[in-house]
Parts: sequence; C-alpha cells; structure tokens
Amino acid sequence: MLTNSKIVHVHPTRLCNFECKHCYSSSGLQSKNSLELSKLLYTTAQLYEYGYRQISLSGGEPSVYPDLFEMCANLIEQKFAISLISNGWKPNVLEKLHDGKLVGFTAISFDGLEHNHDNIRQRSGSFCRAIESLQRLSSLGARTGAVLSVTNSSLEELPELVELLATTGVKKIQFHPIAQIGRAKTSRNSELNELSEEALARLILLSGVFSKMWPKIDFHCDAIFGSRLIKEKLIGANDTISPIVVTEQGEILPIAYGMNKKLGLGKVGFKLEKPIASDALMRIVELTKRDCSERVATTFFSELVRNSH
Amino acid sequence: MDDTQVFAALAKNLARRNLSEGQLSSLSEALKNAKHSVIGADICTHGICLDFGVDGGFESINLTDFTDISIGDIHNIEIFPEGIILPDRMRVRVTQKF
Repeated sequence: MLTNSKIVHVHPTRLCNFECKHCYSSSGLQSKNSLELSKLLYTTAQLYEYGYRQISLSGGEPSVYPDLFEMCANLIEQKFAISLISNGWKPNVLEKLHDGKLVGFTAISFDGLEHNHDNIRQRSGSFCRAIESLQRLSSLGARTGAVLSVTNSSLEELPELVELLATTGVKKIQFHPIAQIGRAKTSRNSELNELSEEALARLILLSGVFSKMWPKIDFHCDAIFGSRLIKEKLIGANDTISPIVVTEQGEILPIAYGMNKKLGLGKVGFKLEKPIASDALMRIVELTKRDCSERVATTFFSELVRNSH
Repeated sequence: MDDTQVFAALAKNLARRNLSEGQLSSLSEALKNAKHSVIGADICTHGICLDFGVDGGFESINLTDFTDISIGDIHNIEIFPEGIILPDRMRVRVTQKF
C-alpha cells in the first residue's frame, strides 16, 4: 500500500490569500473555484463506507474557504478525523477550529527562515505570523506540525528552522522537496529548481539527525533512497488506494494532486465505485518505481505525477 | 561537547556542505549492492550508520556480507535481534567513516 492509513486529501478551493512562487496548485487571490459542499459530503459519506477515516484539508488556503466551519462540522458528524494544512496567516480562524473541536491536527507550512519564507510567499510578515499561529495553537493545547518546502537555499537553513519550530511545541515536521509542478514549473525561477540527488541524500540523512536531536518530534522526509523502493510493495491488484485526492474542481484522483485526470476515480456528487487501483495506475507506479530505484535519492511521488501524464 | 552539541554540529555540517562525487557514488553503490535489505541510513558521530535487516538468528549472519561495503573504514558493527515484533530477524548496524 502507498499508505496504510485510509486518507482523503481534500482541496476545497484554490482561493488563497497568498500567491506563493512555488505553489503546486497555482493557487491565489484570483482562483475562485470551490467545491460545492453538499456534493463533497455526498462523496465523503461514500468514502467512509469504503473505509476512509481521515480527511486532510489543504487547497489553496483552507482558512479562506467560505464553508470551512460547516464542512468540518459535517465531516465530524460523518465520523472523520480532520487535519489541516495552512499558511498560518489567520491564527484566529485556526484557534476557532481548535476551540470548536473541528480539527484534530493543524500543520503550518514554511519555506525557510524569515527572509526566504517571506520571499517565496511574496508577503512580508508571513513568517512571523506563521510562527505566531503555531505558538497560539500550542498554548491552547492543540496538536501541531510543520510542513517545510525544501529548496536549495532553505536546505541550508533547516537546522536553525527546525530548532525554532521545536520551541513552538510541534509534534511532527515533514520535509517536502520542491517539485517542478504548478507555479514552480511555469515561473522558471532558478531559486525553485528541484534538489539534486546529492541534496536529496543529505536531506534524508539530515532528517535522521533531527530525529536524534528531538526524539519527541516525528520527522518525515518525502525523499527516499532509490534502493529502498526495490523492496517496497507499493500497490497491488484489488488494493484500495490511499491516499486519494479530491480537487477543487470535484475530480477524485489517486495518490496525489496533479495526477493525470485519465486515472480519475470519479467526480464528487456522483456514485463512486470503491477506489481500487486500475491496471493503468499500477503500470505507472511500477515504471516509476523502477526508474527511481536507479537513483541514489529521489522524490518518488513527484516522479509519479510526472509519469502519469 | 555533549551529544546535543555534536548532533547540532553534524546537522549544520550536513545542511551546508555538498557530498563529493566520490561519497555519493560510494553511498549509492553500497545501497545498491547490499546483500541484505537496508532498513536505515543515519549519520552518527563516527560517520554513517547503515542498518540492515537479516532473516534468521545470529548463526545466519555472515560478516563479510557487511565488511565488503566500501563507503569508508569500518568503525564498528553491532548485531542485535529485532525483538518481540520480529523475533526471527536480526539487525546489523555498520558504522563507517564517511
């Protein structure tokens, strides 16, 4: 299985209060597409019947989705556990979600220390506000985490950034190497180049060092040594796919945002067959696995999205 | 220097320096040619620690399977059972200069 937990990644909107240079979904102020709530809930009810239990909300920026509170309340009623990834610009909204017991885990995204972060986010003060969000949530006893997009320049800042994040009480830190998807691809900005194999290998080793330094924080790196993939059984016939992704346009896709729509599993608001891996998907996964296992270190899921097109 | 300071220094070193072509090739070859599954790779105070999973008990371990790996000089090899969850499996940790 790609993941043992049955997770649905929901992107209810591409509306965002930022326009980050590297955004994989090219979200921003002009992106108005939003999921119709009733159709989403019809689909999530079906997904619950198929064994999915966790919803991860992102976007765009979920804190600006107009129906956010109503959506969370209904998903809770459907017995899902909800986590959320935010840019941290609206700590009041995040606090309210926590106080209302609507979100069980909140992750804030970062792009390096203050200068790098504010530059990528194109918003002065965004780093300080993100840290403030973590601190405020932590003081309320909320479970928090951080998702770090790693570029060549932010890689050098990771020791200082992780040390700072550790003081805010985060329980999980995820390292996500930048991928040439969405705005990162179209901007042709050299500061957004993908990490080399060498840099990815260092990132993997670095996450191991951090685990020793902060044993109470769960570190996860989205890069993997290629040789590890050889031995992994990623997905098989009749396996239920996890994660699956619901986009702001109502597409239901396997595994990752950006996967080819030809592999789509259905549309929100319509009857959904159990999300089982298709032959086409399994072929793409195996081909990608074979290619990636030739490399010292790789971002397997980014390659999977690219190979699906 | 206590452990925290050592690992902090290691982390900064790793974050800022590039691995040489030679080091990257050595790591790549070691991971590809390993005769047993590589469970983990980690940086420690002596260099790099590669963890291998070996099915069976102590008697199934052939040390040359691990000493042939030439990332760097071997500092030590630890062999221990995986434990209750996997009672029929051993873990071999090889620490080498990197």
